[in-house]
Amino acid sequence: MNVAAIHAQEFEACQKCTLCESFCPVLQVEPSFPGPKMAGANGARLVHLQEKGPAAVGTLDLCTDCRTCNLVCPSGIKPATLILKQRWQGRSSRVSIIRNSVLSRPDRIGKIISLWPSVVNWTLKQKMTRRVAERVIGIAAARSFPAYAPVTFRRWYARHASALQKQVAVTRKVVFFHGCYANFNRPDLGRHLVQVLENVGYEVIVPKQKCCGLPLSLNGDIEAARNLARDNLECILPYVEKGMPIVFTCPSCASMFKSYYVDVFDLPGAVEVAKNCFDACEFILNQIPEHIKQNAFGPVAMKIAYHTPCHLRAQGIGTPAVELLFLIPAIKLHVLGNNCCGMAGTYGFKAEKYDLSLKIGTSLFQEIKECQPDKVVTDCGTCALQIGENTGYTVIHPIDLLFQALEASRAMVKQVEAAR
Amino acid sequence: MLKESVQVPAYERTFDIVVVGAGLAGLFTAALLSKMGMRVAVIAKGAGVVVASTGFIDVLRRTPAGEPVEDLKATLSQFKTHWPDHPYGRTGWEALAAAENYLAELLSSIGLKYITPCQTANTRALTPLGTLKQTHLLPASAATTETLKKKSVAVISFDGLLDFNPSLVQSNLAGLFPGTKITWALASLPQRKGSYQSGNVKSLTIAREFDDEEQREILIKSLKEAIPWREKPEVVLVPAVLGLKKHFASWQALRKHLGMEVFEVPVLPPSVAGARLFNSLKSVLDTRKVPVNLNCQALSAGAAGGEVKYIDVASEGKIIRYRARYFILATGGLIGGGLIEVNGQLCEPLCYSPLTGAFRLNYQSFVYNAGVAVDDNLRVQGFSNLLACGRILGGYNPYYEGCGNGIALATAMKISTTLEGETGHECGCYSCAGI
Repeated sequence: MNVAAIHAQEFEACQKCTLCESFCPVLQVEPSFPGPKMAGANGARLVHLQEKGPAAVGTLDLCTDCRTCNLVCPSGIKPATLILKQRWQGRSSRVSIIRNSVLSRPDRIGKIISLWPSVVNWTLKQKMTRRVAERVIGIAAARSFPAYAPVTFRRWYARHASALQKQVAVTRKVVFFHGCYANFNRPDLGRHLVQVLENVGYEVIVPKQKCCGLPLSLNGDIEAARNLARDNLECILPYVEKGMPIVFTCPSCASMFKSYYVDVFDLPGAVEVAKNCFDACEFILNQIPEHIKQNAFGPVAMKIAYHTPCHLRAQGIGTPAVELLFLIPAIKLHVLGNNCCGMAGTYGFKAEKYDLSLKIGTSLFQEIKECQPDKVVTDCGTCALQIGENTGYTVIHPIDLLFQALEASRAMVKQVEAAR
Repeated sequence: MLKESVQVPAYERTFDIVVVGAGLAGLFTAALLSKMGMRVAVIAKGAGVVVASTGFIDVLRRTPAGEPVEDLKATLSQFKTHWPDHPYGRTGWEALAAAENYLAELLSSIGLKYITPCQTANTRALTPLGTLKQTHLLPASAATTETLKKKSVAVISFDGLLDFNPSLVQSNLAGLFPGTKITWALASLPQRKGSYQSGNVKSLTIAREFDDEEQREILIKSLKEAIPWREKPEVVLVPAVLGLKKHFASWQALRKHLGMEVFEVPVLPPSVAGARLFNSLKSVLDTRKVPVNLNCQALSAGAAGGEVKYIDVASEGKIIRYRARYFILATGGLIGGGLIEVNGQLCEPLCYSPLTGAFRLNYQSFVYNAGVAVDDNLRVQGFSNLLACGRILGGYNPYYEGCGNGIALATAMKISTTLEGETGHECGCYSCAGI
């Protein structure tokens, strides 16, 4: 199957209204990017007619795949998806460089690093290492890598699961796709989600899984990315067939399962799995009435600035995290304007895109600094990296905050009991 | 699209009111209803076309009978007797005036100044082609005939700006204002590495540069150099690119530096003035905690006993069911997707609402005034909790009458009054204060 094949109905409905250009975060700061209308719909038309690869793959690479254009288009065109397909068409003959192999397989890199995380974390912090990285493989020296945790989520979970078996019977089951970020970089986030769900009687199952394939499809080999997707679907589908929902803490992994596995990779079982995929906050808000009833959460007296990741917005579910956080007593929540942070996963790591990535995020960083929150909250791991690095604020996941609010409520209950 | 409608929803969401559509009618209805303390949600397929518009609010160019409009208030007051099925026949002048006031108030609260130069008559404003169009509520920076009644006017654009043609504007204006000396010139854009492919500069690019104070200074300097000072212009017209987020500051800075009046002429899409209007409405809804959920295409509705129970919406990969006490159809007409054509017959595909003027479609006699049939409170006929506003309504031809935006606002206001009465809402809010 030719995954990069472009069909006429994918661009025919474009009215050239340029709405996508009005919202594109790259075009805002980089006028040499042709933009979603030109690169997406128009480019696809040319490719379709001429049946040959686009000449301008270099400029198409400026696209961050934030999918804002897919979201705003009033005619149902998906310019970002069309750009992605053209990139693959143009790149199929190219030799992949070292950087692509580093950036496109966070699961493999994570496995290697997790053998000796403290040493790697130290090494990655060194200026020397970073300069060499920029020279040799083109990863921006100014960019800090996310720290790798000493114990991965999966290792914690294995121990946790065996300890759990002695406890009370569970009533409901849910599958957690942790992705690379929660596994290698933020295992505490995974733990928090597991605890939040177990609290209300869910058993959390963590199946075998690979990287969702998004970094690979943007940086390297589309066929290989499709293979990752196929492997993941094979692991997940049996659970879906048993009626279990799949929960994600990473919006990019979630949007991969929900849209690209179906729309682009066109794999067997993708549609069934997509129907059962939930963003973590979406799941809690809509499937766990225990959590959204009044007084479920204890107070968290903090000023929070919330940033909506592009890949969350693209899912068409609104911003469930915002609705959940508003339920926490004493919280002061400021929802930041819809600005892309510019990180776009691996995009901001690349030496030639680093400046552009900061430029896209400038207005967001400024808004955060003006807001002066205690903490910034966002669902996406790489948005968190970018915001933390450029504003100096601690950035956490909404699930971390929900966990904190549930702990606060438990502490209150204990206090009351002690007083009796 | 329709094949998915048989899917089972993954979960349900419940609100007081769900507005379907994020055009001017949908966004403004949501703004009005959220003021009443109701839980409102907007769901829409895309961002709506406010962004592509000039940002002007046209209310009525001519009556359905083709008569020009002298006194808006008097003309609109006659609609009830002459054209009772026209949306203005149901809203009257009062709803329109209240809606316009409220919109201007909302926009000014977040720094976007809109004015109504004459309350009871239309104002003629400049179009991107340099022709005139009748409008009513418009950005304070927009060029109108009043602002052009001078001896000498200069039209200045930027070299390479795609969406604006100053020589066309100049020659059209010269025909319209024979007594005025009109000149045009191009200002050069500062060169920088990698940007500005020649002849390919977009209006939004320049607008965003105006937002940045350093770049604004450079642009103003270049505009100043381009002005034909020999002609002693009293007014300068520029394309509507004076800032997106910091529009007022950009406009004021340019006026101050040139020492004369400056007005904007709207540009072709992507329209900066349209983007300002959309962003402002969106930020009002953000502060009122009204979710505007995009990529949410409404697929089908479930109704029983004349009551819409839910609307099923396609998000990425699955169906979500939205339940509410009231549903508002603001899905647009044939172009916006609120009405579709099935075998040559018009159809409202969400709730299968009854239509007026729904004849077979053909090119010779396209039925512009076809749309959803409603009662005097804008309730869709046959439904108790489904109301409609904006282009989807039947009984008018916005292209002929020049009234699309006015109808969007007035019908939104009418809906909010209707629901206010039914939900027993009373507070100190604007619409309760007796309009």
